[in-house]
Amino acid sequence: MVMLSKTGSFPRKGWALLIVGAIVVTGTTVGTAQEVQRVASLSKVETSRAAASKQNKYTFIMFWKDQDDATKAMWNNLQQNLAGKTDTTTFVAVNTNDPAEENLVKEYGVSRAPMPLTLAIAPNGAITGSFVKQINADYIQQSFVSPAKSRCMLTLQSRKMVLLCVNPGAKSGMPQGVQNFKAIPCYKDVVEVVSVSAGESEESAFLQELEVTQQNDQTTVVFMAPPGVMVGKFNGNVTQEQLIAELKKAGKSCGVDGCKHCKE
Amino acid sequence: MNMRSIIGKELRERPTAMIASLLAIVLSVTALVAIRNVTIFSEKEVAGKLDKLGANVLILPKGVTLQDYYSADMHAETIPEEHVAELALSGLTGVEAISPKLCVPTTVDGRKVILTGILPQAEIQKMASWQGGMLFKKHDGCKAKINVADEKSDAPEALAERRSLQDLGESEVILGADYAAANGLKPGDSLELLGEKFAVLTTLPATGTVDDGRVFAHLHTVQRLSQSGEVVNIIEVVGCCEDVANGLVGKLETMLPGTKVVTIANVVQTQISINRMMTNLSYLFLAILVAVGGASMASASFANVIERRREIGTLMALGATPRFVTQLFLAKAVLLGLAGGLAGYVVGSVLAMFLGPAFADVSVLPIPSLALLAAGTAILVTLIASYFPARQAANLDPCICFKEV
Repeated sequence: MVMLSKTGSFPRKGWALLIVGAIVVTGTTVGTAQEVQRVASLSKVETSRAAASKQNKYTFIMFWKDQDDATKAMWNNLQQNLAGKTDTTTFVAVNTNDPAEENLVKEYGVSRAPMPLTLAIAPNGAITGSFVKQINADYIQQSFVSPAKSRCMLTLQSRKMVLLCVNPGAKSGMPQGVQNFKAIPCYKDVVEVVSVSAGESEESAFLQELEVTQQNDQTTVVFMAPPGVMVGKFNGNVTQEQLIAELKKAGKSCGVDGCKHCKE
Repeated sequence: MNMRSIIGKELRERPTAMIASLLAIVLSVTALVAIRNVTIFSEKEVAGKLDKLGANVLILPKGVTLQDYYSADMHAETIPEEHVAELALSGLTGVEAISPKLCVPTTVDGRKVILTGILPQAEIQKMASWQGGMLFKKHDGCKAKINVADEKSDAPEALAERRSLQDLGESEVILGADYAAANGLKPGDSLELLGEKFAVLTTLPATGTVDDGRVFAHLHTVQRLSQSGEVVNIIEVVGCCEDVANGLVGKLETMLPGTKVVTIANVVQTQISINRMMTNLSYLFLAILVAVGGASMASASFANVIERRREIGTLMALGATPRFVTQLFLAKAVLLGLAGGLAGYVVGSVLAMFLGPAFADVSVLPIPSLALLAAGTAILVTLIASYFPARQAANLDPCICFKEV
């Protein structure tokens, strides 16, 4: 009986496995097909940008309309400064009148921008620099930012707020006030918490820019709001009430209510 | 007899002198209160109007003369639209919102209408966050406007209040209140403009301005349909107040040399001048209060001391000290000052409620804090005016007084 029931269960399991397998294969095939279709629909520059992103490289896109002196000078500058950095960057030129690159021009909304215009795009998609009509080595260098800064910039560019927690050690937890703020229903979808260890050498320039001391035995919370407003800096004991109060204060601008989005 | 009964008797027995002294104080305080009241409400009105306007800096073509804020974009001259991106990408401190506009007069079903092209803020604001080096800088004093994704401020109705809009499709229009009412249009309806069909996204609340009769569409659509090219008539800028006052206008002029940069302060300059004049007038009346009220009070007090020599002498012979006599006169002055100040506040407030709408075109209500100012000023003036007569009375010799009798 026992043997029978075991042998009898084999075909049932086999069918079940077959069905699951078929579903997985179909799903994967459809997914792959969609991905192939998406990749195939990408323009040359979009493909180049996607590839650079995968390889953790920066992409410099120079948008241009006319081949005037400014355009030639900008392109020459890009070549001179980036040709030796092919392991970390790629650079391309886009004619804004090229129908093939219409989507890209639309994505960045630069069809009416002064030309030539170069955008520096971090591997995560954040635009870390924009240069109108002229560019030089210093400008280019400023476009390379730390991972935490590029994450903060991407978040701000998505019209979300950032709570940057600069922790004294890698194992420090998120401050309670930050957790509570992030849990408030009207804020939870418009705020991102970015954690960084104060000791990380690649973040030292960013922390210096924020005027956050790296030799601190307490967590520092830096509160930023789009488009790039420094709302305030707090220690790890900050409460959600303090964060809300500072946000409301920062949102008050000259005669125009800047921050109305959360009225709890 | 105590001090209260002596003062009461004095005021009852000589009402004419009291009324004369009081009248001078009441009139002066009335003028002071009425003018301060109208000035305060007028200033509030201007501040309120500025708040509602949103933009406080206008960038116009060089040859345009600005006469009216709301119709500042109604002219044939244009400036390149690329100035908008130039501004957004510049990372200039104090520029909080940029709203370009292009106006095209057209007709719909035989009716004239101004089709106004506007650029959604979503297409401008993202450029402002591309400045890696400019971000995260604390802007003390006047902070930049926060632009978090938000259904309320992103709603199309925000155009009426903020004069800018977060999102607008290329085939959508927003209607001014009058235009929508005159044509019986509501959100969701469709409308044909310059040979193209548009969906009505929303209708704006009435603002009492020329905007009520306008139709707003995406700037690029208006440019395409009117074949205007990549140009605009005006760029409205919401600048941080402190920065506008501290050189933002100069920076804008340097950056965009082919344009004229006008601050809203220029537009409301007339109202501000009137307010300044009213404030100066109130100070002038304050000076008159001190001079006329004080002189009148001092003269009445001196006369009172001379007339009451016998009574003062008798009081002192009965044991009243010079200090008591001084206090007697000063207490009377305080009473007169208080009564005159409060009466002046009441009459002044009532007068302001009539004068405000008639002369400054503002509704005025009584301001309780002015009662304190009125009473305080009147008491101070009467005290100063009565001090020397009181000292004179206190220094009287009772023997000489009786000899005169």
